[in-house]
Amino acid sequence: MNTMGYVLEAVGLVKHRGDFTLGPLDLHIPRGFVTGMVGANGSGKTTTLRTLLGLIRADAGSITIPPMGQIGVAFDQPFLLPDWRIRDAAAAYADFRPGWDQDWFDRLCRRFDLRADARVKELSRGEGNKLMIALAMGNHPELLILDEPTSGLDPAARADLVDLLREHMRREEASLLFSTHITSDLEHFADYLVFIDAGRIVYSGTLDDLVQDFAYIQGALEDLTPTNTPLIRGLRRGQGSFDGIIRTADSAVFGSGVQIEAPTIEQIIVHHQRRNDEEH
Amino acid sequence: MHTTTRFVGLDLRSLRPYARNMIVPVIIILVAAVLPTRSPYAMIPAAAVLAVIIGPQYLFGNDERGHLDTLYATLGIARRQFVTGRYATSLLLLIALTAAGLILTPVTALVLSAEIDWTIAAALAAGSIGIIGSLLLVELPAYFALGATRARAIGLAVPAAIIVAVVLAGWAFPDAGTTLLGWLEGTSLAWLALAAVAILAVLGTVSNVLAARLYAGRDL
Repeated sequence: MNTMGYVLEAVGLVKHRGDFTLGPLDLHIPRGFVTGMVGANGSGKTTTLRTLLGLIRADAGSITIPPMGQIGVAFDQPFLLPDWRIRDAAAAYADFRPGWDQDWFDRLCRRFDLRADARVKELSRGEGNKLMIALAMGNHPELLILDEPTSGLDPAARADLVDLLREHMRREEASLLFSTHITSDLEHFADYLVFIDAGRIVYSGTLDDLVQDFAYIQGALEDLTPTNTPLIRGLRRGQGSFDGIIRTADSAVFGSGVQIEAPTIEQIIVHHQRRNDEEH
Repeated sequence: MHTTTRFVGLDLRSLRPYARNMIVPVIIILVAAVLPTRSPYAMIPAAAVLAVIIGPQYLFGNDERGHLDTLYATLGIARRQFVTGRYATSLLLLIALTAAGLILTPVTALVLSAEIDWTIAAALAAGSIGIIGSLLLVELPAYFALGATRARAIGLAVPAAIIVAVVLAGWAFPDAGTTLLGWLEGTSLAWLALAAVAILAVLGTVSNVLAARLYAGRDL
């Protein structure tokens, strides 16, 4: 994909925060697609998003991103005055966001069951998320960046939000980057995936390629050898058996006795983040 | 409309929910300033001092309470525009509060059965804007660099240090107050206003540049 195909690019992005170091990261977010960002708590997802948006100053690297007026942003916590009413927040957005569509925002509020006179501090966590998403979408932005948009939502509200985001994505050129730790969100509608672990990108590409790049392996303990054991990520030993994740390219190192199958996204992420038994 | 101007509107809107909470402390401060001196003129500097007590604490406190730094950035308000806009809001508050003090002076004079000389009142208003404005300009960069919670100590220490300095100067030079009032009476109001504007302009530029530099490097 050429540069014109990316809505957001970061090259050599580095940020040091105490003991934690993010990067160096190279990130290319395709235009017109949904990109999910996954990783454990503390892996660097939020730091990455905040650095891309310029809220956190990068120590190194370059970022190419649309103007802020064309980016809708929602984090897992509202960034509004708790004593504001929803209509006050909408008025603030209307003053600054180019192309603000009040009718569209009102429709989103009705869909999310949010009252214009409700105070921000009276909203539940899920309602707060919905409000921020409605505000983020209120001017039909070119790029939506959402941090854990489905956290705090019940299953029905989560499904409704996914439907709404799908509708948004039907607009030509609309792009979405969202972080989550709920892998079912990814399976439902993400096209691309960025997998971050300990501040580094472990995988960046399509979901289909991810499932092809990794394999889920199960076998008997006697199938483990000093050569093949280090190749298993998230090795879990049971009574006489083991399982874990390997790179598909390493399949040949294992004997015919082991079972190698296509993994789910959750298996890849869970095993990748889990340290091997002997490391505990 | 210019982004900075619109930001001032947003800044003032963020104060509105807390206006009712401010009424009681404001009355206490104004009464406490007038009662010991029984001078209606005390209303003017006391009202101006409110700008340094209320202004940064509420404005930067709201930023922390509502994570508004993130809001400003996502609304496309550049850091430089935010800094300039916040300076404009602070100055606007100072002028509005001093004007309110000036308006309350004849009312206070009526209650205290005292006479007022409008030349002295106007000179005090100009002086208050100059001095309190300078105070604000000294402490604002700390708020931009550290945020409300961490800068609160500086916000309290700066006015406290100045009050102590004034009290000590009063002890050291007992006739200073009378001399100052006499000097104010004898000085052209236009010159006083010009001096206040000049002091604020120089200090304001230095303070604003410093604040912008400090805020530019801050992680929000």
